Amino acid sequence: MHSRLVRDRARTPVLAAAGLALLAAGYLLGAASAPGPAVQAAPSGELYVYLANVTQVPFWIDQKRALEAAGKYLGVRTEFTGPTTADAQAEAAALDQIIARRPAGIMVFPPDSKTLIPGINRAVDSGIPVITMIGDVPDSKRFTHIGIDNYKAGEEGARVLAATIGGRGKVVVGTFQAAGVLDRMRGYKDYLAKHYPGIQVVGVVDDHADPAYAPQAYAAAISAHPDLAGIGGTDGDSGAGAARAVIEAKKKGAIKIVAMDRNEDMLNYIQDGTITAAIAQKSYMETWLAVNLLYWLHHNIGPAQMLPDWKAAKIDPLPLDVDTGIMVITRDNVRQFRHATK
Amino acid sequence: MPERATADDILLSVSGLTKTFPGTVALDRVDFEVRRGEIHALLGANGAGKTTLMMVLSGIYQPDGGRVLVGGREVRLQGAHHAQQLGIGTVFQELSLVPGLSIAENVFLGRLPTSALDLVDWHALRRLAAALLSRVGLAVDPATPVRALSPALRQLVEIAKALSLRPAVLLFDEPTSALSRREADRLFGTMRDLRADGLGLVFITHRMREVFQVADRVTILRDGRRVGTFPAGELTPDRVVVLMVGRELPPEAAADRHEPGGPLLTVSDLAAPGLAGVTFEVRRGEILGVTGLPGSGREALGRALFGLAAWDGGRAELAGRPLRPRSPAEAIAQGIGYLPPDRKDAGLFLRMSVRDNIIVTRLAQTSRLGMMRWGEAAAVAGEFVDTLRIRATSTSQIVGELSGGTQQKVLVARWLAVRPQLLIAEDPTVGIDVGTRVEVHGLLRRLAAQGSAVLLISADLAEVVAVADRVLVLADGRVVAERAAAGTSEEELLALASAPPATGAARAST
Amino acid sequence: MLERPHVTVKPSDAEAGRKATAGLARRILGVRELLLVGVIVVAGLLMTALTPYFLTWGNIESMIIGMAPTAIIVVGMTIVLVSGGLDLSVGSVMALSGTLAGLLMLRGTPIWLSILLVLAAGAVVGAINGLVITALRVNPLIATLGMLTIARGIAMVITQGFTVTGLPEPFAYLGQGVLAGVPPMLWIMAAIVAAGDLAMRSMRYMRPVYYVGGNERAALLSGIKVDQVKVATYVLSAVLSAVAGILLASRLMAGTPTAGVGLELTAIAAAVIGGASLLGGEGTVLGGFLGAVFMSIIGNAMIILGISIYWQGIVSGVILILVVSLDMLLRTRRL
Repeated sequence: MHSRLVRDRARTPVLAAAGLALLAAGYLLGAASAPGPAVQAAPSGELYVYLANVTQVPFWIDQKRALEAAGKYLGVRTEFTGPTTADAQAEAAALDQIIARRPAGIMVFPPDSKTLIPGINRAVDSGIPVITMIGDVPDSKRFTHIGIDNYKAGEEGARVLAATIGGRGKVVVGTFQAAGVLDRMRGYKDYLAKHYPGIQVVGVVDDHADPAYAPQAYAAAISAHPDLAGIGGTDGDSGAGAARAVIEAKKKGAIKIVAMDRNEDMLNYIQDGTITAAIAQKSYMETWLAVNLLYWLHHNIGPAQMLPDWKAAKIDPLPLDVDTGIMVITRDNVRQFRHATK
Repeated sequence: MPERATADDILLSVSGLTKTFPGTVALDRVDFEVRRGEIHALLGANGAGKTTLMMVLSGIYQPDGGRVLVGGREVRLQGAHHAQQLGIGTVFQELSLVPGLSIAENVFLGRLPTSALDLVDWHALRRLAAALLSRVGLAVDPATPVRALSPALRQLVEIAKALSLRPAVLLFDEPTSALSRREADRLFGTMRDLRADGLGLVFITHRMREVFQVADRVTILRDGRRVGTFPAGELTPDRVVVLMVGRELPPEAAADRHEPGGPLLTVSDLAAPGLAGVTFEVRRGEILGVTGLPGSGREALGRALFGLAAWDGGRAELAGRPLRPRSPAEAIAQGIGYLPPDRKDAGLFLRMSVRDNIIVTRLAQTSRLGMMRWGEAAAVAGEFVDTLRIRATSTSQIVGELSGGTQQKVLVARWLAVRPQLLIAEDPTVGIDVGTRVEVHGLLRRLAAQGSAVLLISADLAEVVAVADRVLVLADGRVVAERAAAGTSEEELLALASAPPATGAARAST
Repeated sequence: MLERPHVTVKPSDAEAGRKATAGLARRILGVRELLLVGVIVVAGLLMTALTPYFLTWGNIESMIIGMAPTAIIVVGMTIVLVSGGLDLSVGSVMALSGTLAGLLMLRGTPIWLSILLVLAAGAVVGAINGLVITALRVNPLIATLGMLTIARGIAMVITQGFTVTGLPEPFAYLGQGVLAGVPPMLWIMAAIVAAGDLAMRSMRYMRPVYYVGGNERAALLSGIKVDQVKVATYVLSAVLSAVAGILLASRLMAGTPTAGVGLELTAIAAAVIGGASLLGGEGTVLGGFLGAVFMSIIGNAMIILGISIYWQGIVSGVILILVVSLDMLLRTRRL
């Protein structure tokens, strides 16, 4: 075909131009998303980095806000980065890249308790203090651990759910298959088994962390257990998903829901009572605290002054562990939990 | 060649071989043998069972009855690999080469020689490949990628590949269908060399000329049965046709020629990829034959006129209106139809029905208010099945199941259904049995008689002489000669096509 | 052109015999769809025998509501597959559409206009897919894979990762309202499936899709504008993904940028179970819909039967392979 022949000859330069345009667009889009991971300037000046994984989910919004605020407050640069998947190897590689940039301090949400041990030790040995967030890597040289781990968060959720349904009845636990969330699910089940023999966990539902799929997963569980008393969620999408399913099954009020995290779409359901409460971690405070602790270490102020030279003394001036507990979102305080949406 | 061979001489044979498929008996108690040091031609109309027999001999099909003997011992061939191990090699029509790999890698595909540490031994590969290539007469660097080779040379690579397994018998399925005459002669030279080495060669062909050129013995199949096996010297072309078809065929009605009408298509200095500037005209009701050697522009002309290639220059007019199609859709809109030379790749929808293959060019006409009228579609298709004697179980039959000749008739029906002003038929009877050939030629004539014009582009000189009214000979992208078909011969056409360029004597017309 | 012939088709003996045994059902449904209906009925009966909770109106309704966006997307995916292409961007376009609709409505754009604009955006995305594939000759897998990440990325950027909430109340009608007993969303799905199936079977403008998928070169030589057809299929697929996104947003009353990750694979599986060939040239919308129903039943069954979440992936994968293998066996026997 005439035009097709012409196009074949022109194809390579057109493709190259299109490729460049796409790269430029990607670059700009990356720069526009806040706080952009890969778009920082050369590694000079004071920088504090928060390394996580599955970084695109709304769970990290509070951490990012706290990083920004702490950075402004202290006059330093902060950055939030990490792979968009739960890939431990990718996170380890990202950690190495961060170390190479010689930041003033690193906060890291570990994918598990082992993989990052070498990386963290390398950072600390090269003079970069490391704080583990939410999850811990106890066998490493990290300076402190801030937050409650996922297992404890699961236990807390179970506690609230048990109270909500009056200590007895059948419940379903919703989750999805990522290491941290499964830890929460285990905490949930173990707590109920230990403290509430009158409560029976009749099913565990995998909602794929997909708001489009979650409702039908919970709906199927509701169908299978007509006398269900409660649903406990362990991931951010379980609240809205369970709420939707309960409403469509016309069992609002009959099935109590205790959710986890503070996704925007579930707050309305807390407002109208479909969800009784949601358990959230004090992520903002955790991050704020971490940045400041690292700042104190870097500038040798505050606790760092407990000894003339804590480094030479090989003493860790920071607490061993900071248990930040949880906060319970209910109808009474839900208004304060709404983030500004565009 | 002795009439009765000793048991030692018979490399491969089958007796009482039967093979059935749902609905048909493809082979019916066939006996066949291949002797050492012979070239054995296998002939028959489409659907006679030649390819099926070859598939059984290659080990690809399992027979439903009868025995297969290799070297006198009865065996059950469990697949092509097993057959190869027993010394039966096959060179298929649909080539099995990987274009991106080199010749050597293709010849030893899957069996690359390795050195210590299981690494490929490239030196050994080159050496072994070069030896095989010289045996088939291919003087090309074994490292050349196959995609750089012409179909003829690729065929030689296929043979080298088959030879690399050291077969005693080599089977060829229509080896010359993609080759020019010169390339076919070269292939036959290679086959003769292999015969001298003691191999037994079997080849399926449609071309009478080849049978008498190179075969020692000829086996003819008809409707799944063996009609007979004869030494080539005892046969004549006419007798072969009679044996193949079972009846005498009327000679091609040359008397059908009538006076053509006024000019329908005029082309001036058409330049396109492969064409340096051709000028000619086609009149209503006439069949204009176009022939030439590969690369003469013969293959390029159809593409250029049907909107498949951009023109570099020149003008054309069809029925008084300017013609410069930029796509097949435009060409069709102006009343041009095209029978492509490779009907399976470019013409047929093999997984769709006869009905769907026929009505594809008239979707708009076979619908009302945007919805298809299936009753009318079935009627149209059914009418063509009847009048063209298309051998199918129904218009719903999947075209892939039909024989080559029947498939071609379906393609012709597709264009007859929209009655084009000009039908470009390129190599319309390649790989088709004699009976269907005659039918297709008759269809082209009928189309011309109804006032359309036919551009018959073909490498088959016999076909061109028999069917066309006038013949153009192309060479180097130009028209070098024009003759009335009645006043020329295959030899003259071949000479004109092969004449070295710039012999001014070529431009005479009658 | 040829005048309407007065000849009626004289069916051969074989065809006459076949028609005698077939009947109405056979004419409307192909062998493949009948097989699927059979499989679904068997699965339904099995489930009903195993648990009383399967065949309840509540469970069936929640299954169909949950499956509606997927079913709509499968219609588009089937069409693309029949043309010989592949569209991996459908899940991302669905998410982008939902979030875009939400953001527009939050800005005060009237609901009907927001919907129109989002559908138009879907058409643009589909056109981009189609042009990249036809004009730049990029492989459909790569092209739509790129769009998968781009569309999802845009959804993330415009929402900053937040779920879009606070949508105007009337918008909930589509996904949460009641129209003759069920949410309007289900009627919309039914209409799209029915229209899609009818169009693919009998609409003259959809026939070229089968020809292009069957043999692209032959289609070109038969006068079909192959590139146009391909672009149209991608536009259709993207617009249907946008419809699904809007309906989902209405049901959830939220625009979620993380919705539908991996949905494209589910859609492809449903279409292939329904008879679409990954090589193109074959497939029906009805078959794709039945494939979606089948997969929805499998998912529902696993939860109701309490199969461990760690095993669910294995079970659904094995069932998928079994059904497709059954199909391959049937195909080769027929030829």
